[in-house]
Formats: sequence, C-alpha cells, structure tokens
Amino acid sequence: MSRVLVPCHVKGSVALQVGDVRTSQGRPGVLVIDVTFPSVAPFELQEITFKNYYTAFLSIRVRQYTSAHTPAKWVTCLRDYCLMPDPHSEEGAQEYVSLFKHQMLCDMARISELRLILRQPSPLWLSFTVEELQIYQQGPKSPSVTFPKWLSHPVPCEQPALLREGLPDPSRVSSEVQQMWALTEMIRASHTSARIGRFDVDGCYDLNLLSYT
Amino acid sequence: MEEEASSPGLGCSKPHLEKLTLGITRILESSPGVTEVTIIEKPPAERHMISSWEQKNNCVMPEDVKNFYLMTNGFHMTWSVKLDEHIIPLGSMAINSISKLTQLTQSSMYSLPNAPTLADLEDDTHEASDDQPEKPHFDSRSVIFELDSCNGSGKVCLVYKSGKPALAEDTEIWFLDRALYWHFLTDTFTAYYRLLITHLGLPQWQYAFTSYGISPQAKQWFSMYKPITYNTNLLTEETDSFVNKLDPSKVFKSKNKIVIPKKKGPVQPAGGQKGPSGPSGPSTSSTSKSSSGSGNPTRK
Repeated sequence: MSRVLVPCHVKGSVALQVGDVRTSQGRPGVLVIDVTFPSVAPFELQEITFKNYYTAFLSIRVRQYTSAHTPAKWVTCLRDYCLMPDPHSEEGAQEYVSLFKHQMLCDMARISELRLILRQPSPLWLSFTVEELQIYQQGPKSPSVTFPKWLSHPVPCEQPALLREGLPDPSRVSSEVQQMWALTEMIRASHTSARIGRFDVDGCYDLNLLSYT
Repeated sequence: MEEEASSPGLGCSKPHLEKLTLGITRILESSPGVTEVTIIEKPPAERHMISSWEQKNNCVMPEDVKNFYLMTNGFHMTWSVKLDEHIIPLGSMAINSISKLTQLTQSSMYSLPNAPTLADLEDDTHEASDDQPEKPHFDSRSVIFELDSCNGSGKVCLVYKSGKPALAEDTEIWFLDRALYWHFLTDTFTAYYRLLITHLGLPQWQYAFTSYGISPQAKQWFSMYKPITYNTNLLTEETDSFVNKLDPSKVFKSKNKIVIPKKKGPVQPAGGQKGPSGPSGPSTSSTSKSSSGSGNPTRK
C-alpha cells in the first residue's frame, strides 16, 4: 500500500499528575503529546510510526469531525497498547513501532488533531517518550514504494567509547556484589522464630478498645 | 487501659509501640544487616481533628481509620541495611497524618482550553469489566485521599467509591501507580495496615499487587528479607525454581599433573616441537593436552 506523509506539528509533552505537584517527590508516569496539522484539512489517517523510548503503554485519542455541522470531539482509538511486555525490563524499550488503521478502535476519517498518552508505571526509568513520530495518510495507488526515513538513512554506528561514560565503576560494582553475597549468607544462616503480634488488649481483638479516651 | 493512660512514662511507650507495630521491630532488629530501626512517635489525634476533617471533606471516616488516628496521628517507621561501610536506607512504612490526608485532584498547572486532563485517561466505554472491582475515577464519582506517597513510586489511597457525601462503608484501599493506573489492595484499612507491616516497608512492595510485579532491584531485597506472610504467586514460583549453588571446591579445583618417569623421554621432544604454537592458547593447558595427544601415536 502507498502512503503520504502528513505535515504535522508535534507539541511538547505535558505531564499529568494528581495531588500537590510542589510536594510530590516522584517523577511523572503519564506524558501527553499533542499533534496538530495546521496546514492540512481533516484527513483519513492510514499509519502512525515512531521510535519508542521506554514507554510501556500507549493510548491514542483523535479529534474527529463526525459530520459537517457538529463540532469535533475526542475519541479514543487506541487504549493501553503494550509497547514493553515487562515495564521493569528493557524488552521493547527502544523499538520502532508502526500502527495501522485496522488496529484502531474507531474510524480514522476526518482527523483534525491527535493526542498520544504515554504511560510508564515502573519507577526505574528516569524518562520516557516517543521519537521520530510520523503520520501517514492514504496515498495515490502507484507502484513506487518509498522507504521510511529511518530505513533510507541508517543511523551511523555509535562509538563504543560513549557507552563507557554511563557505566558505573566495575570495581565498585564488584565490591558491592560481594557485600550483598555476604549479607545473603548471613541471612541464610540465621532463622528468626519471632512472630508478628496482634492488637491484643485483654484478649479482645476489637479495634474500638484501642481508642484512648 | 486506664493505667497506661494515667502513667504515660518512657517505659510504657515501648510496649505501646511494640503493639502498634505488631512486634515487627523485634523481627527487624534480629535480622542480619538491619540497622537504625526508627519509629517516629506521634501523639494521638484529638477527636475534634477527626470531626473537622469529616466536616471539611464531607466524608465519614471509617471506624478503623478513626481508631488508628486516635492511637497515633500518622505513622512513620524506617530501617536501613549496613553493607560493610555504607548504611543504605531501605525500609519505609508511612501513613499520613490527618492534616496530610488530603483529597487528590489533578494538578491545575495547565488551565489552557483543550489541554490534556485526567479525563483523557478514562473512558466511559471501559465500564464493561464485570469480574474486576470497579476502579476509582478522578472526577466527582470517587473521593480519593492519599494515605502514603510511597517515596514517589506511587500513592496508596483511601477511596470512597461513591461521591459526596461519602459514607464509611464505601471505602476501599487502592494503589495508584506512577502511570496513574489503579490496583486494588484491600477492602479495609485494617487489612492494609497488616499488609504494610508484614511487607516490612520494603521498597515498591505495592507493585506486588500489580500485573507487572516488582522490579528486579526490589525483588533482590524481597528475596533477602522476604515478608513473613506472602500469598502472591510471583515469589511462590520463584522459590520452587531451581537455584544454582556454587561449589568453590569444584570451581577452583587444582590440576594434578601425573609425572610418569617412563614417558619423560618421548614427551620432551614433542613439547619442544609444539612450543611455537603455545602462545595461541593457555600455555599450561595446551602443553598438557599436546603431551597426552602425542602419547597415542607413540603407543601405536
């Protein structure tokens, strides 16, 4: 099938959080990226491609014109699409993803805006996003097939020197692993026989008696 | 009861904390490597504080939550692990005090029209799941209060399933992870309190109640200080799995070279012949292998 790249404007990501952000100590686990199409009339979406960067689940909402007279409304076309099978491990963390029209929950006609909701529940990762986001619509039926951008221009090989900068000191890691092993042996050797107590006041387990008046 | 109330001396506070934590401090202090077990003792809350909270939020506090606050206004217990020279803070059990039992709403940093909101995260068409308990909502259908901020890994929430005025019997304890997914924990605060104590406040223990489980780093600590009552299938399968045991005597077994005086004569010229090829591999092993290899043609 042929497709045509739709010119779009990808806005900056917006973090969604609950509670008081000033006192909140955690990093946000929900990012929303809005995609607008300023120079394009409402179109029928054919394909979405992007490169994942540690996003675990993806939801997509589209702003869609149902008819010529009613205003556009938001519809969910993809719900909790799994990009990383295990959010705590690296599988699928940096893969190239293509989403097609038939995978969507709703009709993809007359699209005016796109909203990508990225979610990463694991607290391990410092940041997560999607990169190289491209939107396609149905193109004219011609036999010529154009390769996607990342396939036409292969990324130059990364220098192995860059990898060393992010790695911790090997001797320190080795020392800490040995200490962990020694601690494991200590725990294995000792067995605690103590048991967890109860809320026991005069033999009664009623919590009401624990209120001191 | 009256004697304890009349004489709140220093000696009486220790058995009080012992009962409050179900004796978990004794278990922790007797565990290897555990150090700095600290309980931040807080005074009981006044009854009018609870009444003020209920009037302000238009919610009836459950009886067990009320009785807990009448014992102590909030709870915070931490413990660390000593690894040779370093002390790593590991365990943390916390329950917010009444003043910090605030209702969770969306952070109103973005007031632009058409901006993303929490309503984008839920859809009305998703209500079709019958077997699962209905998840809380961020709008007025649910009233959510934060019990614990889990050091930034998520939030343990006291959830009133119906809107205001909220009744005490509608409450449940849910875990809201970083990605704002809901995971059911317990029906009552008492059951959650016991879960909190039995899990020793290990990092990210609430993730054991999610579909993705705990992270490999947290799993390491769980394996060392495994909670006493653990019903999750996650670690049960792991304990059944085969564990490789390292035998140092077998791994670092020293090689004994058999010296045969009769074969010394033919071995020497053979070793001399293969001397130049020695540097390609381990010299000692290649020498011994070549000597044994050359022995066979000699016999033939």
